[in-house]
Amino acid sequence: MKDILPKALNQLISALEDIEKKFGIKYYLVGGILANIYSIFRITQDIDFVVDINSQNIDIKQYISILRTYNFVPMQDWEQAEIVASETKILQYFDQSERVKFDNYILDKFDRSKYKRIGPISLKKRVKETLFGIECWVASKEDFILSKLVFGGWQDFSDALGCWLRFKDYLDLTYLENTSRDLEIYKEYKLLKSGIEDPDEYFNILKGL
Amino acid sequence: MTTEKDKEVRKISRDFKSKVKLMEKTPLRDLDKMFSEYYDEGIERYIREEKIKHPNMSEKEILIEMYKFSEKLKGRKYKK
Repeated sequence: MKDILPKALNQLISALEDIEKKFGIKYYLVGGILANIYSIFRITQDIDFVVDINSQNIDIKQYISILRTYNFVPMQDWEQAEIVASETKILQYFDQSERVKFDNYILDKFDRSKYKRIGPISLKKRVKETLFGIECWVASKEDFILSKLVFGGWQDFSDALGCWLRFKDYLDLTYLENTSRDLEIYKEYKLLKSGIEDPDEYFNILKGL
Repeated sequence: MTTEKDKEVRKISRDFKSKVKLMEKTPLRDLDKMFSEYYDEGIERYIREEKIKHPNMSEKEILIEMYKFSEKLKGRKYKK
């Protein structure tokens, strides 16, 4: 099988663009799939994206019934996926080739944790980019950095650092400053802009190692 | 235990700043092509190897296990 991920992305974006047009559900891609355009080259296995169903008064059950018409494949079954998503606000399923996993985050405007607050913030500033020749909505560079600092794994810090080093002259620094304070990740942002150039150093300082 | 020398060697061999420079000079279509080739080879080889170890597992089951393991490796504070 060739071009597994681009084909899966094509299926996903065709569906999401159609869903946005028909139901008004906005979406944007986040995470490792953006690393090649925003940070340094790396492979990611899954595709992460966010949808705002609540603004259209669509619940998870209704959203799943919409998704089912686009040939996606549930990990176990859609009923199980609904139960899990009701609690976690994340739906996980495969593309039609059953190779690529989609992590479909449901935007949650009521959860005040930083992990959920980054969702609506990023939606406001989503931008159009081209990935694998496919035009789609993605998180802005600034929100890519902020979300990586929020989640805080080694790979996340490495992605954020790569984006900072590539684009620091073009980023909206006031936005990064204010939003990082708002999300309580100012310590992480401050270290990012301090001139650090290696992800291990960055990670170890933040983790106190 | 990681020594200071190990850390320095790791930093030099990673050469993160040069990777950033390389990204600025590499056309996106070449990155896309490289990504796709690595991805196809990696996932198909993984399935082939796991099929030998677990002949009764379906390809889908193998990938579900792979994605679970991959999630653990991310080492995030927030778990899905």
